[in-house]
Amino acid sequence: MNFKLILHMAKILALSSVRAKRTKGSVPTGFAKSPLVNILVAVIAFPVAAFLANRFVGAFLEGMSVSVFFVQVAIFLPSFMMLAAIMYGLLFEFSQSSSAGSSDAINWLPIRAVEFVLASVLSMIYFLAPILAVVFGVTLGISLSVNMVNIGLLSLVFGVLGMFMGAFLIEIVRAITNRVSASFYKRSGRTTVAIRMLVFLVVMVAFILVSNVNFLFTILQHFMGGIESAWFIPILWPSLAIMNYMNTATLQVILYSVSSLGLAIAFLWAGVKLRETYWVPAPFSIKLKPSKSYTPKRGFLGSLGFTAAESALIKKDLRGLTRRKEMIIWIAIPVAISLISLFSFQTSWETNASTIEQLALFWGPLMGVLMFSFYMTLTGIGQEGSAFLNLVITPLKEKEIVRSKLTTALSPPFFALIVLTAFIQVMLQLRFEALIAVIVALFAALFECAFVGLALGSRFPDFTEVPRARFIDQKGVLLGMLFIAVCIGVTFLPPFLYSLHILEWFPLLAAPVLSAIACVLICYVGYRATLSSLQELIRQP
Amino acid sequence: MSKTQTAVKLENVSKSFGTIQAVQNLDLQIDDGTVFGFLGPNGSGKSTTMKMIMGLLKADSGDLNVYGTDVSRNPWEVKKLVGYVPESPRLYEFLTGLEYLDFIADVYGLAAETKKTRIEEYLDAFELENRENEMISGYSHGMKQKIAIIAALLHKPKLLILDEPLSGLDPKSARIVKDLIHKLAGEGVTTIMSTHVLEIADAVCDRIAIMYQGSKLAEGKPAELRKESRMPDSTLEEIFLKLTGTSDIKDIVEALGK
Repeated sequence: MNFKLILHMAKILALSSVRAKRTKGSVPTGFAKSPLVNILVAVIAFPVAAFLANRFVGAFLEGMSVSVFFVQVAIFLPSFMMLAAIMYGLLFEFSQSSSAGSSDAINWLPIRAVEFVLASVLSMIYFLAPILAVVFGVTLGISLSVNMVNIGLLSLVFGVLGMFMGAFLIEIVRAITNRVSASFYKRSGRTTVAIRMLVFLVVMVAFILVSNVNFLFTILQHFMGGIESAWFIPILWPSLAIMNYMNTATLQVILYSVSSLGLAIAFLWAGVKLRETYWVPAPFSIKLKPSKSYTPKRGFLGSLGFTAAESALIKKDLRGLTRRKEMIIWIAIPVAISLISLFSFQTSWETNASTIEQLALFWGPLMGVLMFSFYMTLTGIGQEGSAFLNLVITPLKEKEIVRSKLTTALSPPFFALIVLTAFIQVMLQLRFEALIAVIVALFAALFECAFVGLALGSRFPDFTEVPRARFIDQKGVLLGMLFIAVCIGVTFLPPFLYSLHILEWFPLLAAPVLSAIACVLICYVGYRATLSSLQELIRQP
Repeated sequence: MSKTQTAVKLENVSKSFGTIQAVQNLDLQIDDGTVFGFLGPNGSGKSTTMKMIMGLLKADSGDLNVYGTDVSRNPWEVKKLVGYVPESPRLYEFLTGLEYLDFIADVYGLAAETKKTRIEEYLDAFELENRENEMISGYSHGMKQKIAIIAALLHKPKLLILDEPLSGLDPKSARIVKDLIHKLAGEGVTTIMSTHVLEIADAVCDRIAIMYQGSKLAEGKPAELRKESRMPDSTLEEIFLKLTGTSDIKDIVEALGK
């Protein structure tokens, strides 16, 4: 095993993500684009997190002692780190462009499977470094404040082990999907599309649950009484080692520690063996229907007033949404957020709460609907990838591209919002003026999300497809979030002020009028900005 | 006798990328129905010139006209006239071959019946029938290239711009493309193509321009080039190597072989 080669390859794999840019042929310059930034952030975040946790953790724990909290954190840190690595890896795999799968030079270079697996694991952990630094800093900081540094350090050691175990598991999945999934796709046809969407949805919901602090604490408290009896769940062995250390059960500590290490080695071994067996990814092909005489369809969209080109673009984007694995995430996130909010809705619904408090309980589904529209347009241009050339070489007008992108992004959430509004009305029985104010504010927010998203998406597209499809650059995402927060804030302001009795001297119907005016202005500015950016992109791709 | 129309006219066109001068003061006139070939080593400005004609790149200076339309002023009109096959096919891999062609046909606004006839004809000619309902992600490079060529031909363009069109094609499909180019030329379709395969240029092109470091070294019919270079019995490859100053390759090969 060549350790120098492993480190070099890990660096190359990390760089391939860091440097993936739209502009070809140039190495991104500037400190912000340096691969060292990730490490620097981690180095700074660790002591800062440790200091803040050490000083202020007590203030955030209502009625819970810091010691009890620390014990829970220390025990479950390895499991959390393992899940974090698994979720990050799964997300990365799902976001990888399918066309890039079999083109890695790594497949035909004289590199051993174990070297590749270790390099891949290290490159993945490099991207997790800032998160690890914060988690480890917090753990160590609290351990200092409760005088349990030895437990804190042991937890960190097992946390690192858990993270590697998660990363090795991901390597197993990656190797298997190289070959097995290809055969699966060939057999499944259209069913695959539905199954893949469902699988990813489940993964995403799990990811959001794991990242949700409230949910985690519920699980922690649930397990605290009975983790001793969970010896048969191997991924909990590191946690059991820490717990037995707290109970000074030396024999069990040694047993679970050795078992944990053995499990990590077993995962690595399996990852390497599977990589050896399924080295080169087989490009997959899905045959959607048997060959038969081709009959062009007279489109439904045409009867709605769309041109043939617009209809073709809309159909293409809708197909991409369900067929591209890197696109499914944009359906999964809003659906997951909506589902999670249903739990809080069930537990928080009180019939005697004020209308505004009851309305606030619908934030989850509303966020899901708005996010879908926002992300669809924010990534609308970048998702074209290198095939953007098709839009450039054909006689498409910028207006046609804008209309089709907006229609794709607005159609599903528009109908979802109608259902949501009806549900709100059934639950809250709003009076007519209030209902109008809610409807206008919600639909105004939806249109603003689409128009603002497309303006930013066409200004900051990222056409990178390898090794990971991103669709929009970081600046675009940050500015987009900022702009949309301001825009929605402005639109919601009139009904919100009225609900606080600040605008009471105004008729309630003035609030939706003000919201509608804000929406029209924002959408118009977004539309003009999109046209301008597209003109620039199409003239100088 | 009808007067020959000018299909493409370039006057004093230049383009640079940073400090690299990709195309330098290029003048070119291509008549209607001509099969025009660009020859030149890598980085000589062939693709850049074709992209400027297509309107994909904006010239730094000079004038470009396609069938009398100023490319910089009205690129949209030019796109309606042109069919373009890029160096490597850029297709929507999540669509099937048929869905992609249907998409392209709709973008060009073809009527349903025309669309059906042409797509079926071309799929059959390029032996893609029975594979048209598979996702493009599963196609080989050659199959993708065939789809890109069909997409460029669907709307019966007046001007075809083909950047290395035969790359990756099997011999039969390559022959189909060559014959098709000849047939289309007979119907008045102008073709501009680049190729590294000099035999293909010799066999297919009516006129050839040899490009080197962004400039045009020579232009004419293959026979004229032989005559001008005073190498009447030479192959196009020998003329090309002489003109581009790369004929002295014996030493390089020997050094590499050591």
